[in-house]
Amino acid sequence: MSAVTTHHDDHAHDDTHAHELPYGQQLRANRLGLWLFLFSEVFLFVGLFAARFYLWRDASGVVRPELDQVAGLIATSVLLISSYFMVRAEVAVQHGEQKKMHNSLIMTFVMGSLFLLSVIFIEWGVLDLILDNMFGVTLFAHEAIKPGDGAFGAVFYGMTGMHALHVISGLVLILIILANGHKGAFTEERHWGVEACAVYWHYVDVVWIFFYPALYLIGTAVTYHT
Amino acid sequence: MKAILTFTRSRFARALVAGALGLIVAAILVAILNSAHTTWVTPGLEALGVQLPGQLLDLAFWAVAILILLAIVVTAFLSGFGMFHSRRMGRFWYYAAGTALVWGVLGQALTVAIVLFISYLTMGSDFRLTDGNVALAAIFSVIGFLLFSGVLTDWIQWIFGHKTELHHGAPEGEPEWMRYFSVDVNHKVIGIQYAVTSVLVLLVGGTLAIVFRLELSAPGMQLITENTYNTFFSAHGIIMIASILLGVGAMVNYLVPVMIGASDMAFPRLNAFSFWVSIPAALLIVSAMFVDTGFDTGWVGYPPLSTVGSLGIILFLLGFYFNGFASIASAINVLVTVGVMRAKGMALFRMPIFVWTAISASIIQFTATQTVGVALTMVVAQRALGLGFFDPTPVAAGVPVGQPLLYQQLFWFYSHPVVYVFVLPGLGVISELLPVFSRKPLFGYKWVALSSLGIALVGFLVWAHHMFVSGMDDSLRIPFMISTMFVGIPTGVKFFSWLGTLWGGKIIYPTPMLFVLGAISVFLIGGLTGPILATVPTDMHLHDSYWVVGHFHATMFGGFIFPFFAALYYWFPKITGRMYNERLGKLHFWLMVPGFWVMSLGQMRIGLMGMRRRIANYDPALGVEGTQILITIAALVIAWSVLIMLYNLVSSARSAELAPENPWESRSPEWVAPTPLPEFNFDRPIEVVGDPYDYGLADSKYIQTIPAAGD
Amino acid sequence: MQDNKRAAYALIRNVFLVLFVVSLAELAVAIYLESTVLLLLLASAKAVLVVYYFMHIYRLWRQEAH
Repeated sequence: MSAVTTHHDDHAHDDTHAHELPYGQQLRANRLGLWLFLFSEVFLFVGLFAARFYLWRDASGVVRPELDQVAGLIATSVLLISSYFMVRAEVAVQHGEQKKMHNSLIMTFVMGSLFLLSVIFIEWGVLDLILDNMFGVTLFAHEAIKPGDGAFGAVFYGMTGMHALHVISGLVLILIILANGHKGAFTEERHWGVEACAVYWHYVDVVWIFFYPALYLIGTAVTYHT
Repeated sequence: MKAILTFTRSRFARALVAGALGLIVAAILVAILNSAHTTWVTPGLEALGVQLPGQLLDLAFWAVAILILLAIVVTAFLSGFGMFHSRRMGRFWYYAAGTALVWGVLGQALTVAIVLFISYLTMGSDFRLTDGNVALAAIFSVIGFLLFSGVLTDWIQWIFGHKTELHHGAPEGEPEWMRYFSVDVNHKVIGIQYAVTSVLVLLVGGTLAIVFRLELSAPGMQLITENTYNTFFSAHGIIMIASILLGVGAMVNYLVPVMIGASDMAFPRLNAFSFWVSIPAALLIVSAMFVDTGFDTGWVGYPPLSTVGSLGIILFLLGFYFNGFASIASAINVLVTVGVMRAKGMALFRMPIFVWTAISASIIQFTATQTVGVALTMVVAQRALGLGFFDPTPVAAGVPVGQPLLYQQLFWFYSHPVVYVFVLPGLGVISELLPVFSRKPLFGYKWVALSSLGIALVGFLVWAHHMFVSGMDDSLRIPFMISTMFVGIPTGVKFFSWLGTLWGGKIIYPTPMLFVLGAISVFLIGGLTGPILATVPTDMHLHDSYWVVGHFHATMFGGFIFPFFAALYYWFPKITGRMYNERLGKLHFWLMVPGFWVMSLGQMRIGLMGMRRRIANYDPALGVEGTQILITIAALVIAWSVLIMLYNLVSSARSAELAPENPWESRSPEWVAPTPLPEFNFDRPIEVVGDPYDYGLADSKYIQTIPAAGD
Repeated sequence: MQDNKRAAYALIRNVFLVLFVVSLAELAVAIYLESTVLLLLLASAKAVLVVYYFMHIYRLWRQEAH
């Protein structure tokens, strides 16, 4: 029983019927596939977003935990700057400026890492925990939220954690693009790798654009110390 | 990187894998022997009055057991080098050690062992299975499977900047049939892999159902314990869903590229990934039955039970979750394929109607699946990380707490639309086959095409009808009742189209056509019983009763199982080049259809009489015993009829007479192409020059081959 | 070509500046107006800018020249 005949014919040479898709068609397929994937992920983040509005309520309406606004603004700005450098890298590769692309990607990576560190150390309170334990110093006005702080902790860590996972995967992608770009894998005409990585990275930024107000700005602030 | 790849292809690696497989098989064998030894042999000898000094018998047993174990492992190991190749056993070990399946399973087992070992190192003598290490082991085990099976190899090479070419045909140095056990990128091979796996998984789920059906045939507990019953009905639900998703994958993968005149899917490697990721996922679900006390949450996994119950629940949740990967990847692939790979002239409204249903199902799959993913992740996060999404325990003044109902909202936002993922391709098969066997155009092609999209879109707005009695806000009841009723409109369009297609046709009744008609009758039962559940007052009474079980099985059988079987018979000559046995096919049909009617209507009847679903025992005073026996008998008849089909298909594939090129005189591209289909579907590119279903219209043509420039 | 290039860099820089200003505006809205609707509108505006100018969504329905 064989559903597929072994392939001996010469139609491999038929140009309109080649087995690897022509570059243009493959590029269209790749773009559509990537965007569909991102659209699919919208439902993941909307699920979390909806959970936030579902759970962060009391009798008076929508509430939010009292978070450190400086930390939030720093994180948001850093991610936005990284997004700028990412689009700069893409413009650079389109115009054949390999060096500029390389530098911009490095800046993107640095800014992305800073964002990640700010999430882990400031938002999740790891820094304060360390400082408090070692020197007895508290740096931020508000004690960081803890996972066990009821719906506040669950949603806060759920949203920032799921977003951080995407940031990490984005950083890995940037590293891959950097390494391959160094070997000269991307040209003015063909740089799907850079484009895909850039689109993904901006998407991670777009998610944060909605998560930032949802976590930090919307609703009545409630102190959550337990 | 290169060195690793060369090593994995070496004879030594193969021998190692064969040896490891041998070890697992031998260990299972020894475990069985050991239980026979302790339960029968020792007491048996004692009963006979045979006195053996001390532990002589035990010593003898273990000596023999270790000998058997060593013999198997050594034979397997040497067979991996190609020794004993003239013997059946030697060939078995040799080829098994070359399959992606065995590599993957070993990779999965190895990863579980590594994660648990690391956990043992950190926990020391306190080591036990916890929410955390079980979840971690499950997550990494899927990655282990994928790495070892070779699904990720090309992508990993891309990361290091190596370009790889798509490999067509059997793996190097292996016979042609090994394609079906390897990571193959051809959509037809993947389609068949899906189909075979789907049927195997269907048998597992069906066997569970038969066991608890026998248990239910009388009040009281006879065969199994309450806990086993709970595990079995939960596993039956989720295993059948996995099977149906695989079956949908089979039809969509095999058919969509050929039907639109493409050479393959848009992303062949992703396609292979979709299939292979569902194997470790299925293994997680099956293993969930054996870890701790199994899983007793039903396939829905509602908190609070799922957040505090057995560890098996975590495996079930994660298995479900990784199945979602397969769904999403495969749905995106289908949408892109239809978007960019259609043949010349294949306008959207000239595609075979099945493609429309595949698109509609894919739209649901690649979006809604994410929300159930969120829900499942939240449960695992609550158990492993302490994030209290569903934990209503008060924390501090002013701090809101988790709510179990949130799970139901997210869960049903996926799980209602997903039933349309199951039935839409099935309804597509019905619409696809009716014109062929009525020799008439499909009635209202455009309306039918759009009705699929309509069902998909309305499906997103109806989820809360599962929650009328859950304690959700009362004001949501009426809107969701009304939106649910709207599903009936596009579904009605399909029914009238089927009637219009049959009307005045020159109908013939081979097995696939019988199954299509059976599907319509069964889906009608399922469809008509739906609005009764969608109506708030009647649902209050029928919720969680056997009426729901009857309704659900009627929609699943009518919308998926019957059309899937029709598809298996219909495309069998295309896939194998041989004809199935028509007599056995008809026997299958005439056993299964009445069997199903009895089963489904019986379930609804006992539901009305007050039989609850998901309970192992019931009060004889309910008066449902007679009907329960009838349902059990009907279920057995269905099971036997499915076995008849399997026998028919397997034996026909081996030795039946060759089928004509186009036995059904279909106009569809897959039948116009040669049999078996060439590696890239069409020897020459095709072009669409007419409408797909103009049966009986003289001189009408649907597709033609574009002549090559040189001809 | 040189002009094209300069325009491309200028465009992304300007979009970035707008995004930055809107982010600050969000904070102001949160503090002084406390309007959920306005905050979500501002976030959506930012998202549209990113999706169009940074992610180039229009490339989906544009045939590639090369």
